[in-house]
Amino acid sequence: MSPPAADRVRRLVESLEGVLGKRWVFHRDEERLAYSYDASLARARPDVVCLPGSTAEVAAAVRAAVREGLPFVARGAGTGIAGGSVPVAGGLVIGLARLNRILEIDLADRYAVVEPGVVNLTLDQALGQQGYCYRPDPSSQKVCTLGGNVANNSGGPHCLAYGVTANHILGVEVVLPDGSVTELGARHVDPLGYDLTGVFVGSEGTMGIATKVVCRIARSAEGVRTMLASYARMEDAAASVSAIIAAGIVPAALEMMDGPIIRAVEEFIGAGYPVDAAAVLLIEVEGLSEGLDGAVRSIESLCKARGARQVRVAGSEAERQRLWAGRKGALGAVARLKPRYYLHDGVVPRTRLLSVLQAIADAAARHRLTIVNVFHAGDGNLHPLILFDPADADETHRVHVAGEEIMRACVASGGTLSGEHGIGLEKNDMMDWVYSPEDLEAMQRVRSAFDPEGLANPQKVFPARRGCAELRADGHGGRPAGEMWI
Amino acid sequence: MSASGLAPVDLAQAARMAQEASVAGQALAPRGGNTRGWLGRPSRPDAVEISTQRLSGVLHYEPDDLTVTVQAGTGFRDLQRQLGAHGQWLPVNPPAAAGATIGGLLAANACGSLRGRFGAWRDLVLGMSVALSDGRVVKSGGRVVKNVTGYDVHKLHVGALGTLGLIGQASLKILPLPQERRIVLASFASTADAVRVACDIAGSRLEPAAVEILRGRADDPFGLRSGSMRAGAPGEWALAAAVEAGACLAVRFAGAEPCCARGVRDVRALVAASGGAHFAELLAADCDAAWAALDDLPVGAGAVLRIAATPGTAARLVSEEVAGTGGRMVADVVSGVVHLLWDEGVGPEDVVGRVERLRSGFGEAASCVLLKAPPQVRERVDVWGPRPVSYPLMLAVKRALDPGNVWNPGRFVGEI
Ligand SMILES: Cc1cc2nc3c(=O)[nH]c(=O)nc-3n(C[C@@H](O)[C@H](O)[C@H](O)COP(=O)(O)OP(=O)(O)OC[C@H]3O[C@@H](n4cnc5c(N)ncnc54)[C@H](O)[C@@H]3O)c2cc1C
Ligand SMILES: Cc1cc2nc3c(=O)[nH]c(=O)nc-3n(C[C@H](O)[C@H](O)[C@H](O)COP(=O)(O)OP(=O)(O)OC[C@H]3O[C@@H](n4cnc5c(N)ncnc54)[C@H](O)[C@@H]3O)c2cc1C
Repeated sequence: MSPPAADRVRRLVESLEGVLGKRWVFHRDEERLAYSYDASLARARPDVVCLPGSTAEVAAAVRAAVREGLPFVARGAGTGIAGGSVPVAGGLVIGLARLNRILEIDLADRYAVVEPGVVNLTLDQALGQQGYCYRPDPSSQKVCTLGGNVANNSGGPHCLAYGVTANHILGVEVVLPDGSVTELGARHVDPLGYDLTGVFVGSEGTMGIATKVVCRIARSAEGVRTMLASYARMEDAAASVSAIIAAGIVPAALEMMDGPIIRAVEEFIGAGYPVDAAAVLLIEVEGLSEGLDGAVRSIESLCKARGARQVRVAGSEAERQRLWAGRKGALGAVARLKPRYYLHDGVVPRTRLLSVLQAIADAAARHRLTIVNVFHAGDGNLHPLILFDPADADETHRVHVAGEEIMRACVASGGTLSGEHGIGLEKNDMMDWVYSPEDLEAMQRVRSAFDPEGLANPQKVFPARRGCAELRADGHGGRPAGEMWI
Repeated sequence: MSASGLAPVDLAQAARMAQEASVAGQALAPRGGNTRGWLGRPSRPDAVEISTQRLSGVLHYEPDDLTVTVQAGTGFRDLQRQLGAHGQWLPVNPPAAAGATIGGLLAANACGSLRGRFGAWRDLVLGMSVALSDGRVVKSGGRVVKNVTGYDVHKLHVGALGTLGLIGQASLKILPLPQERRIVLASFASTADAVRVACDIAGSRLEPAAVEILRGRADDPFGLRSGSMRAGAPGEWALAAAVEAGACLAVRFAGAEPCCARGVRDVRALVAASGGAHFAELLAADCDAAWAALDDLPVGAGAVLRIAATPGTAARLVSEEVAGTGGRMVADVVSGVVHLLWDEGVGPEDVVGRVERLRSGFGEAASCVLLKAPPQVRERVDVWGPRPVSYPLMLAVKRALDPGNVWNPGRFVGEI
């Protein structure tokens, strides 16, 4: 670190300690290390970390960083898979863990106001006691925060029927990069003026820090049925997904797992999936009790007509929970197969599922890799997991090549780079596969309206200008810029 | 407004026209079906219209994907017809849809009462291509149903009333047509009773497609009897009768037959328990006629104030008959959107007073927008109301996307 930079950092630490107290400001090596990663493979250490306890403290922290010309990065639970909260340009990480109160739940007005550090499931459980729910349910919902969900516009298995985070956020209080506090949206629909909430959601921390979130809440469904359809051929499972959607049935969830996932899940979790199947579909329908049997029957016959060997309907809540435990624990189970996996997040039109799954299988064969699939099939949101051993440099290289080929196949089919995990650091250099320079420039201009100096989570989302970027390889996980994330 | 408008053949040409306008200091006003050119503040007198009439048609439609990409000048009804041929629909019911274009509806964020169940435009738009005033055509989003690739800039154009650019094409989420539709009509002596039942239904697990309260005029229930609308199918007569009898509750269901039947049964029971008069339960063709009539209630010649509030606030507004809310009214209690319709008999003075009282009463708890008002009213009260706290950011967004201030200058919130 050059001396002037060191001075800036020292001044930043001093001013933060003045506002937050020494207790909530961290700058020792091991402390910085703890905030150098998320659930992606990216690593980079911040210069300073702070944990503010109020909106005013977040604003003061932002002001302190920008005064020194240092970037700041918001951090929720660090479960992001695109490197969003990894401070590639150094600067200040602002952790929101202490802002974890549910401030208001108004059932009659059907909204809740929460601080950004509230964990997704905590809100849902608070509502559940009263017969209500918060719909978006990322698989990471036990740990991920609503602030992170807002920043990434997160999805989840039940977003098929109910929409993603953006559809459930009415407003946000935001600390802007100049340290001022503003409110976007409202507690009601159609606030006056441009839909700033709509563009803030999904902006991955590059427009400012959400310090309060107004969430729409819903009545939980009256009844639910969960079923598992198993197949001898992956193609038949994919065809069933298309057939269900085409038949006009919109299940609450429609998830697919392939053979290797099924076997990993059975070995480590034991969800009751048939281990000899090439694929299973986990399908859930929700709503009024009167409609459930009909929906189950239609789905069952559609699946059977497309070659399902068996369709099993969960007979009890315990059996249902067990089926879901397999899906929710799939990533954990896979982690035991190989030291690491690289998780992609492509989206394709639902009629293209089959051909893109084939392209994934071809890429695996071509590059001698194991690629397994567990994904939100009903939305066309693929999650191929490429397994590898980072100690094997050649294999690691092939993982990259195969990953790129898969993303190309998604884009070529009319799909896109990410359905829910975000662009972050991981895919920013692929953005020009789907957007022209003009498209990206227009987005940059919108960003500049919020963040003229570009200090809010820099080098994310947009293609990194390599060379001029002050990309710092960190001592610990340090890797050259191009391989930041593996 | 200039008589000789522009009519680009494609979006690239539209962008070039906009760039020329920018250089010349000219203002442009996008024009769709021009069914509601009066929305918002007036256009600058020298603004030249730029029509989407030649930007029309479906560009990409794969029914099994449940998405469609259309050009902005496509008629809303035309699109619904094309989707209907494949058993699908775009689940929005904007008022005055005849002649309206997809671009105009998006720009106006004109949704309708089905939004509580199926989502508003912001929830249904997957991507957009837009002509900007620097001569560029830019897109955001795509045509897949889940997408976090880059910013959702398209959401900024929804409801922007054409002040950021010309919407050229949009990709939309669509749905299969519901197997069954039903409407239950009930009538109550007091609006408060109607609201109570409406809130019970809206807060239930019945998943209604829409729950509305209509308060008409005894002599002319939304023109349903005067023959000004349609031929007067039995469904419309039933609706007219329910409105004449008091505060009318209209509950719509759309979905699988057993679910609709259950909904109707439960609503009837709730109405009976609350002392309301159950009026009619509409099926088949009668339901279709009443459904269309509810979607398209004529507003008449007076002023229309649109209030968006939380559902609870909207319910209180309707049931307490807050001063100035008397007269005809249509309230969507699921989303909290209330339309107050003031007849010509209400003088401009009175309209201004009512709007100001309502706005100051609500503060930030609601937005009150005058959709329609005579010039004498518009001169004295801002149709949009006070600037929101995030107004400086809105201005920054306008400057970022339309630096030449070409698009519909002055028409939007805070004279943007
Ligand atoms: C009872 C009633 C209630 C209504 N309620 C609402 C309501 O709640 N909210 C509401 O907003 N509207 C409401 N409207 C009006 C709305 O439904 C209009 O009918 C709709 O905007 C018409 O579309 P159009 O194609 O005729 O657009 P136009 O009337 O031609 O244009 C409408 C606006 O959009 C702009 N525009 C048109 N096309 C484009 C484009 N391609 N790109 C960018 N800008 C464009 C125009 O410049 C203009 O500002 C209501 C109308 C009635 C009668
Ligand atoms: C096992 C596993 C399963 C997952 N399943 C899903 C899934 O089903 N669906 C899905 O969509 N994602 C899933 N994810 C990804 C991840 O959980 C989500 O992206 C989540 O929303 C991140 O929340 P977080 O609190 O961990 O945020 P972080 O990882 O800390 O941050 C994510 C991004 O948000 C920004 N940010 C955080 N808080 C704020 C704030 N208050 N204001 C502004 N910006 C902020 C950060 O700067 C960063 O760019 C999964 C991850 C794991 C590890």
